[in-house]
Parts: sequence; C-alpha cells; structure tokens
Amino acid sequence: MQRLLPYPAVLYDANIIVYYCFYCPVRLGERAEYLIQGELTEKVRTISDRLRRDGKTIKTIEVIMKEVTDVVLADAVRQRICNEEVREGVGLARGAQFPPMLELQILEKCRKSARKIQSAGWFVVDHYLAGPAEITALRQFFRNASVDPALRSRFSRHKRPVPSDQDLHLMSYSQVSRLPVLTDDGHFIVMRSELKTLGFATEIVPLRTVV
Amino acid sequence: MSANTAELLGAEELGFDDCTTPSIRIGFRLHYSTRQAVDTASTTHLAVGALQARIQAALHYIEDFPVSYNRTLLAGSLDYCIRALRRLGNGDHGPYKAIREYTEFALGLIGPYIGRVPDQWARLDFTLLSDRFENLQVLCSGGGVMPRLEDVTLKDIIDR
Repeated sequence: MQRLLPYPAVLYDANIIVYYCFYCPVRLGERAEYLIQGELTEKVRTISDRLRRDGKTIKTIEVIMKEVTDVVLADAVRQRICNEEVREGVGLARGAQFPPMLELQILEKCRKSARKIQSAGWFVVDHYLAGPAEITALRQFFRNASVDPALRSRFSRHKRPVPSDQDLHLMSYSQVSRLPVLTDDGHFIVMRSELKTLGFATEIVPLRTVV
Repeated sequence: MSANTAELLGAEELGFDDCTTPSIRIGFRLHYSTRQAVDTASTTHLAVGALQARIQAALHYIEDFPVSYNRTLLAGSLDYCIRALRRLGNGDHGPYKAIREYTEFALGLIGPYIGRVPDQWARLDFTLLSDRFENLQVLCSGGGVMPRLEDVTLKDIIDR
C-alpha cells in the first residue's frame, strides 16, 4: 500500500476492475441467497476503500473499460461458475450444466456494477490512446524480452509474450500520466522493473504485494 | 345448411353431406369447433417443439463462440426463451409470437458465423439484441409466463 500512497491517483488494470465489480448475490429462492464473487474481490474492495479514504482517485482508460465489459467480465464469470464450490453453493447437481440464463444474470449484475462505478466521483475513465510509435516500441520490448536468455523464463508458456493492445495503452498512460498501475496481470508483473527503468511505465504494483 | 356453408365449414372432410335439421347442425358445429381447437393446439404444440429444437441446436453452436458478453447474452437469452416456451399455455399466442420473433433475430446473428467466428465478433455491438431481449422479458413477465431475468431465482430454474 505504501508504494501507492505518494501518488494522487492509481490506475487499475482490467483484472482489478473485474475483481471490484464481481460481487453478485444469486437468489436461490424467495429469501435464500448465495454470494458469488471474484477470488480477490474483497481484497480489491478493501484497497479501493482505503485509497478513497486517503483522497485518491482511481483511474483507468476507455479501451480497458471496454475490454472489461465486452470480454474480461464474461471470462471471469465463466471461470467462476466452473468452480465446484460455487456449483455446489447454488445447488447444482454434479455434472449438471450451469444454466446459461443464470450465467447471464450474474454477468448483467457485474456489468451493472461496472456502469455504476463509472458514474462515481472517485472513479475516472480517461480517454487515452498511445501513438503508433509508443505501441511499436512496447511490442518490440516484450518480443525481445521473451527471447532474451536472461528474461524468457519469467514468461508463462501459456500466454502470448506480447500483451494485448489495451494493456500496452495502459502502460503508456502510466508513463504519460506519471501514475502507478495496480495490476494482477502477468505481462505487467514479470517485466515491472524493466518497464520502469526503461521509461515505459511509471510504476507497476502487483496486487499480491499490497497489504 | 346451404352447400356453400357446409363447404366453408369443412363438412365433406368431416363426413357430413347434408345438415338440414337444427339438431344435426348444432352437432356438426360442435364437432367441427372441437376438432378445430385440437388442430390449433397440436399445431402450436408442434411449432413450439420445433422452435425449442432450433434453439437447442443454436445453443450447441454458441459453445464454440469466443467467451464474451455477446456469447453469454445470446446463450442466456435463448435459454430464457426455451424455459418460457415450456411454461406457455395454449392461449399464450402473444408471448409465443414474441419469443419466435426474438429467436429468429438471434439466430440471424449466429448463422453467418458458424464454423468461422472472427476475433472481432466478441466486440460487435449487440445493443439491439439486448434491447429486444429486454422487451421480451417485459412481455413474458407481464403475461405471467416468466419473471424478468433479474428476478429469476434458482428455484424458478430447477423446479420447472
């Protein structure tokens, strides 16, 4: 938390916004409810509350917010409903298909939270797109790092070495706005010191390091 | 009964050549209207079954589409339609028509992409589909067929 305090605002990446929004009580019957939330929702909400109490603004950029509502939230919901504990919690028989209608209900509630925070005073969505030169330089940096014998072991075998365009825009915005990025994304985390040293981002703060 | 009236009511089909006395005429009319009602019900029943089968096939194809809001919206709303169809009574022609029209619209968004879904599909603007689904929910909940999606409980889904 200390690393975030010197800044007037903190940038959230897509995963952090998803954790914040993924809080959905599912109605089992007239009165009973079962809460489905992201694994780190509680942690992110606690951090966000502390930042707000300290007078910080939480920010992101439009392309990240669009990615959240178009794809990332749906992906998070899909992963969560595959969890055996969640399936048992809502009373589904083993092996039964999670009803697509219920999946949509959960996703719509999360999207509603995403719309709600965008109208809150403490959450700001900036319009920013990095120029082609910055994006090309960042892509080249990640390509080089992924084949560098000293660095390539840091990359996951299951992910493409180059981050999405949306993430590249956010890295660049961190540099331009002089603000840190709170993130849970491997692309940001594995290269955080190099991104800072080479002037590609101001500061990358992994979620797991914030207590 | 005149020949024209008998023809109009389908007397020949029902095996009546002539219905001259009032009692026979009444009997004929009752017989005919019962048969007509059964025919309408079974036609609707068949149409509902066919529509459900088409939706099931579409849900199967949607499984291969990229995970996104668009996919969840399509699958979830079509699942809503199937469940609403199961709850329809024979007299619910309004909701049936609305479900059929919504389904046709949704299937039109799936058909062109079966087997070759472009990466950008997840980012297509499905606001119109979402609005139409909203209208369908209003109609179904107003007619007592199915609650709105946000009011659906797991009990609603599992009990029926």
